[in-house]
Amino acid sequence: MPTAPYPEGNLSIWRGQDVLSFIDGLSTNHVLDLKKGEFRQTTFTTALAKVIDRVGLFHMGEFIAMLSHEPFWHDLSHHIMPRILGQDVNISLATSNNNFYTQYQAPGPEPGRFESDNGVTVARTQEGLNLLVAGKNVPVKTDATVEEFHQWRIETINPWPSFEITKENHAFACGLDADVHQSKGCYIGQELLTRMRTRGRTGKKLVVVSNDEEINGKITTKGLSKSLAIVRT
Amino acid sequence: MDCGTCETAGPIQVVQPEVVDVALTISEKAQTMLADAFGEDRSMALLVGVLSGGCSGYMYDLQIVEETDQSCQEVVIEGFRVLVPNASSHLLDGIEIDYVDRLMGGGFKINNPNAESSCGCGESFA
Repeated sequence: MPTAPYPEGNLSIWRGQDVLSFIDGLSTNHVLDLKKGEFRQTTFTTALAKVIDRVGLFHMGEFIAMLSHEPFWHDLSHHIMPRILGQDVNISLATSNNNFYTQYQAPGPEPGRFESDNGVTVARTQEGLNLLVAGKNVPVKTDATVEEFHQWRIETINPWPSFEITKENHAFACGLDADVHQSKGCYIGQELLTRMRTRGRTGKKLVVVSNDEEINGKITTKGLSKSLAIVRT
Repeated sequence: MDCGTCETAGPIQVVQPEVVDVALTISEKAQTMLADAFGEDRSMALLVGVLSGGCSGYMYDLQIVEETDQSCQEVVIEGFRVLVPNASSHLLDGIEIDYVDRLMGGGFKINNPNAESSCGCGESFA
């Protein structure tokens, strides 16, 4: 079960009765029906449908825990904060209380759910990746490097923040199709994403390419013999 | 997961925008429609608020209420009580409440000088 550190993880704790409707109104996936014990990923986008961050939501019962990418937190929080207005949404940061890990080629909870055991919370993404959040004092053995994790990502075409998931790309270009709900109501960036999907023209697409291949696009994660690239379609 | 309910993780400070004394107008057509809705009873109020969401990031929220637990400022125009939540007052100063008489997309409409853009349905603005 290769486990690699994810030092850029960021954990925020969201409390209040308006939290799910607030997140639902600002991001691509339908999260209003998220229930205790469930995990779902959604993406915050700009009006031009460019990604601000992809986040994972853990419904902990009393609150929602949001796993996001620390280098993007500044932009994400500046996107979120002015829109809270008078709603019952309170956010605190718990990043410094936790360590974060990725685990691949490993069993885990069924996708869309998470399990907590001995201070370690494990969620399974739709792409078959386990995301681990462990309390700072909880030892988690790592037996894979970040480079090995990225090599696995290339083989399985798994996008990752700061590589494919960046503010230069829209949600479809960086392979986040599963995060874009087909029929939910309006959110920032929805008009563009819906138009791209219904016309079948996303402009760019995440693919795996050989390192010696010429591409009409940009290498986003360079591997030993293959790489991930976002190419024009 | 350590949820950080301990003292090490305080809530993120939300910098609340300054509360603005809202000036607003109601078009004649909208006043006629409000009179139809309220009848003779002027104890009810029109709550004009803003929620997050929509294609452009903010959505208007119009409700007829008697009271609200939100902190609001009250504007009375031609006997109609209009409540504007202080939390969104900076987004609503200078608005005109209008009524558009159309089969599609008709109804109350907000003309907002603070909006840089709005979506086609008119419910969302940025």
